[in-house]
Amino acid sequence: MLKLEHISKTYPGVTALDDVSLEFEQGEVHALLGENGAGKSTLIKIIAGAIEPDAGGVIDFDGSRFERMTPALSAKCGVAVIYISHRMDEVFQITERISVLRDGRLIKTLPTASTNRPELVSLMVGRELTESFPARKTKPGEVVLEARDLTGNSVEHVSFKLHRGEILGFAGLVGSGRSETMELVSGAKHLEHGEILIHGKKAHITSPNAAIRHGIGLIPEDRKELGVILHNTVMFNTSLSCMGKLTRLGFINGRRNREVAEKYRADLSIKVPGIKQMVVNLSGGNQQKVVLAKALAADPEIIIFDEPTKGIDVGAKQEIYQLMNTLAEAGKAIIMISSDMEEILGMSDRIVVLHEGLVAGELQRDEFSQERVLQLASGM
Amino acid sequence: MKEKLKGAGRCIYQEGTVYIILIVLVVFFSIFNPTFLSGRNLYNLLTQSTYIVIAGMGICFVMISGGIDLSVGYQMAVCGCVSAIIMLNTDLPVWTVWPISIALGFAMGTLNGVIAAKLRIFPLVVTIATSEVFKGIAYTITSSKSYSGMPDAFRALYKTKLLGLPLDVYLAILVVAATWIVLNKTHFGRDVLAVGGNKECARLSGIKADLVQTLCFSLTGAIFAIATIDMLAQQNQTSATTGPGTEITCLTAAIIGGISMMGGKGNVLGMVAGIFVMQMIANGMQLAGWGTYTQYIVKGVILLLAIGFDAIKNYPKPVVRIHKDKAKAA
Repeated sequence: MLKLEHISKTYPGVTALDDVSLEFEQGEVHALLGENGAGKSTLIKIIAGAIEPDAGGVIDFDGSRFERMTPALSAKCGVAVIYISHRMDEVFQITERISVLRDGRLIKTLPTASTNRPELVSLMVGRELTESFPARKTKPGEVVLEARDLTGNSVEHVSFKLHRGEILGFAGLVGSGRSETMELVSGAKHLEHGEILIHGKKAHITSPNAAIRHGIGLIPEDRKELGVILHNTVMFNTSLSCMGKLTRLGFINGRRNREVAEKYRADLSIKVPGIKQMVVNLSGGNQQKVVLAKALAADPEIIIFDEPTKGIDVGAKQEIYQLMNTLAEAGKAIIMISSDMEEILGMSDRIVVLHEGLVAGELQRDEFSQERVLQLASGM
Repeated sequence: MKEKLKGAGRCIYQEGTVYIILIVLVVFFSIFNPTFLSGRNLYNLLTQSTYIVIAGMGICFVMISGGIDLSVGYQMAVCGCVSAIIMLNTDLPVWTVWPISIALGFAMGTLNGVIAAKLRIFPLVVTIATSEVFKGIAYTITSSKSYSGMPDAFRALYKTKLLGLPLDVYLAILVVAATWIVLNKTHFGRDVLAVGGNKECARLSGIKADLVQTLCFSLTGAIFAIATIDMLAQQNQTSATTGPGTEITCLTAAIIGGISMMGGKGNVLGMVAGIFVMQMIANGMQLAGWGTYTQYIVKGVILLLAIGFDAIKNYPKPVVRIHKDKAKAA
């Protein structure tokens, strides 16, 4: 009933859609899959009439042919459901057919029943993902941070140790106190009772500023609200936590500022036309890398990742995992909060499970299993 | 080429609107009134705008940090009256009005800042309240009298000319340059932009956000005190009602000049252009013989238009709307 023929759309410097032809049938639930920037949103906007495709394409709607849609026209077409998601489970539960986009091109349309996750992932990223959670080459070292009896901000008596070169997972249900614990460690919230030791010495972490000075970097969960300043540039955001290194007598060294931004743009392969680009224009994965760049630029020894891959596409997820491994191998101590079971089991050296603001248990690598984590998390 | 033009178009839409308005106004007024472009009128326009330009730099800090200060008008009244009383009724040397007035402005601003940042009350509400307090103080210390006849040594700021222009023109240029440098080239300026862009993100990134926000109010107060001194040197008279009204001009100029009501964006030169837009409209209305009250109406309408445009530009509504009833009908 809705047929797209040879639809292209170019923006200055970017080809968002490249000669896409696609058919949607009456009453079907059709998933559009692809990494961020693959062209899904552009396609939907064209179908919805919000933007106009480049000349040459035709949209065929119940036999009427149009060069472009208008919002009024598209409203009539409320029958087919086009579904965009990063959540694979949902895609498999809900949809009947799946179209995969990559770099603005339609790669394949296939019935949901005849495909599987690995196939879709490799279609989306254009390569086989052999091992999602690469092994680390180094072993954890000495204790870097010790939390003793942390209380306040709706958590009670939370204690744990974090080692050099380790990724310590924090699991638990939403509201179990994982983020709240890390707000205490990173100085974002007030610690009522308990103490934090860094290299065995008591650290007075009374503010995020103090935490950063003690070498603790935070990658917050809500990246758009807490992680970045959306309406400013990549360069500006990268500089926020390391201004001391970029200034002399209070004045910014512009060249140094650019160098640092360029260094992290390259190190983290942030895909952006230039460091003066507004962060709001970047994809979720690249925004997350900007948050990471900002934290890393302050040269932290301890890095707290709160849901580091939430809402970002498979390719960027892999890159974030690689980065975390590289950081751990370089001797950083990493805390990772995650609600993604595969991620927490795959990435962590140890897992601390919280339940209702208390530590429910701690699992070593050889005790890892989905069941154990869930048992502890639900208080059993 | 077409793409480049589009990019340039977007840039002008985002940053350059104020300069286009400025040019349009110049053309408009010079067509309808030949005296507008006369040397005399342009000289007046420039020299009468100096204290508002300085005041505009003051409002820059508080607005870019994401706040607003409606009490600056009565801060000017307090500073102006205190300065006049020092010069006319005490034996203190004339130069002391500078540090005393600036310290007073700084203190009033700090009061606003501490209440807004520490108690987390909206700056709009805080400064409406403190505005009443400052108003009361101004009337109390003056007993509702007005003061005129400032000493020559004080008025020299306006009376002395250098290369054909009064000294205060250079003072305004100095204040603009300093503001630009602080906002664009210093650690503090970066913190101000960060706090205005997203205060909690700035705090989590290690910036002392409350302190920065408070200091912005303090600086606004201090710079308004400088503007008050300049205003007093020019007008040679003051009372508890001299100053209020300036905040609306500055606010409108700031929004026209590209400083968003939401903070985090700062364009000092746009601000200056915005002030000249406002001054030119006032000047044009004066030349056309419109009364003060009509001018209030026009200024209010311009402020509304500017706020509306600011909202559309920075927070565009989604283009796509779903017409549920239509979908059902189909």
